[in-house]
Amino acid sequence: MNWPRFVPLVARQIRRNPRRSLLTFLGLAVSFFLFTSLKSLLFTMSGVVDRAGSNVTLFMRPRYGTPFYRAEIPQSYLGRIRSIPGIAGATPYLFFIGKGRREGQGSLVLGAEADSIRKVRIMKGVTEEEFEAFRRERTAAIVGRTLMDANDWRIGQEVTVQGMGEGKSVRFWIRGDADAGTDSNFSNVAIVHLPYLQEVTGEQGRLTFIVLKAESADLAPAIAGSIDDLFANFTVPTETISEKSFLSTVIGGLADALKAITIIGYLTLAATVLVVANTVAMSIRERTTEIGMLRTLGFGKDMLLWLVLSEAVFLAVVGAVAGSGSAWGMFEAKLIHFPKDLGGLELRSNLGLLLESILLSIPVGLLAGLQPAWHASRLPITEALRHAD
Amino acid sequence: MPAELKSLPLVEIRDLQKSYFRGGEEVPVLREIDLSIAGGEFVALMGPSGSGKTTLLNLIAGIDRPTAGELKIAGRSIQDLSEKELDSWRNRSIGFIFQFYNLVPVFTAVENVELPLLLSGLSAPERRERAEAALRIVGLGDRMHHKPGELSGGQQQRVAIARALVGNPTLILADEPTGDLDSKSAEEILSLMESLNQDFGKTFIMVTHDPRAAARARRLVHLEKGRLVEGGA
Repeated sequence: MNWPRFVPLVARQIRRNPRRSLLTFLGLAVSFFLFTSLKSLLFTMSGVVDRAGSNVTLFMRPRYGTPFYRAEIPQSYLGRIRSIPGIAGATPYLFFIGKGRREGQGSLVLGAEADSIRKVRIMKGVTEEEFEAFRRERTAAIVGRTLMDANDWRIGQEVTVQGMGEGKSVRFWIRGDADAGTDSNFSNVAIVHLPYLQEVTGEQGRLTFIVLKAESADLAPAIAGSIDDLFANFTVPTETISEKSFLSTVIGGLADALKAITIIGYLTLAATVLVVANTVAMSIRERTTEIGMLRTLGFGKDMLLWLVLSEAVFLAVVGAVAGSGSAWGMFEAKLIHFPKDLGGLELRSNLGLLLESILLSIPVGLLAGLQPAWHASRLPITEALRHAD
Repeated sequence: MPAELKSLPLVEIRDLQKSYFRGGEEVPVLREIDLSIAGGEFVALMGPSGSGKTTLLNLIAGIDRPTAGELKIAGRSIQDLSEKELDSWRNRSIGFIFQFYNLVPVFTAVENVELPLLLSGLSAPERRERAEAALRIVGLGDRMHHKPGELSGGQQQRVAIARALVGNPTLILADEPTGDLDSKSAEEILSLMESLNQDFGKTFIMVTHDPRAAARARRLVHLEKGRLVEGGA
């Protein structure tokens, strides 16, 4: 069959009721926009783990289920860890979760060791002068640019962060700022001196976790095993995992939620199938006599089936190109990103996701058109023609 | 049409019967129809409502199947054709004119006329050329690019006639072609059909209630309660 000659027949039918076609098209476009956005969100989150995560850097935390922010690890572990062969550096962290400027907004204060932090972590954007100023002053802080912007803080300012509970607060002077962006370790935290934070919070001698750097990625699994074996019979047994695994577990909880949202995305497409099916069915019902006429002219059942299916697929593909294309374009143009409060993470998409969505529109169109197309093509000619009378 | 062809039967109907089944009960619509129509004839099928004239037309057009009997068009038993063969046969051999024109409203006149040719092997320029020629024959050379909504009822029926003509079919069937037209337009359409019959040798079978329309035909066939009561083979 020579299909190109039937293209006008399909395209013109879509223009028969422009308002209905436009509304159907918009419904499809919105669904596909939503679907591609959700898929892009998942892609972004997995990309964060791939890009930022390292197999050389290890995170040590308490083995058994305490909340990630609790200070459970005795500081005495640090000396023992540093004596394990193959470790290039180890730095301790203590978390303090404070309130942000607005209701529901948080400010994370990290107690760190000035002498060891730069052996393990890169403090992107922090100049030597800024770091020296930080090192010299007990109550100094280096604050990530994202957190600075979210709270309208500036270098040299004295800041007091009120704790989320227990009435504690941390006061510090900002002496430097770390870069924002997905590849910065400290874009959304305030780093203060560990002894100072321990004193303020009353957590002397305790840590939230320890970050280590192995001399090579090959050594990392053995080092992690050695550390966990070493502390297995201590009061706080440990779990040491790579940064990639650590980020995966942190983001994993969010990813599960995003997967649930993706399922909702698929359900949205399924609902769209029903809407398009109804639109096509209405359109076909109005054209019953015309279908009888086409059959009288010699158009076969199978040809009519494909013509009606083509209309549904055409609508779905155009809707997908517009909806998914818009989502992809907005992500590519970096017009969509997380709020700065949440780290200002740039959402990313890729051409594969766009093609996947557009390809998905073909079964969406086929499913939507199948029932009305089958019904139209199987209608006896005399019955279809009588419809006019 | 050459004189020797005119004498050959184009439509041969022998003992044709058609029944519908409603609630398990057989309702006969056509009984023991014997009819022969030669090439080049202009036949009017008349009868009261429910007499079976449209059913007979549908059977001749191959859009419905008889319950029993034989139906030959140009020597071919169409009741033996498969559905696909019947589709293809209808496209090549039958032109159909409907009471309500049945034009595609989003197509122009020439695009409507081209519709049957989409199923042929003709190229786009050839299809367009034939459709334009058919429209000129029916007197719509200056309305080719108008959509049905921009044409009068009579003009729309002329487009429908052009669509029936364009494939050069063996037989043209018309179901109440003037039923939706005012008397002036009806006269024009009947004159056009008469001219196509006389000047181009086209064979017409027309179902009509209207005695004035029937008077333009050269042969009348009356149906009553599913039987031929006058005329026939």
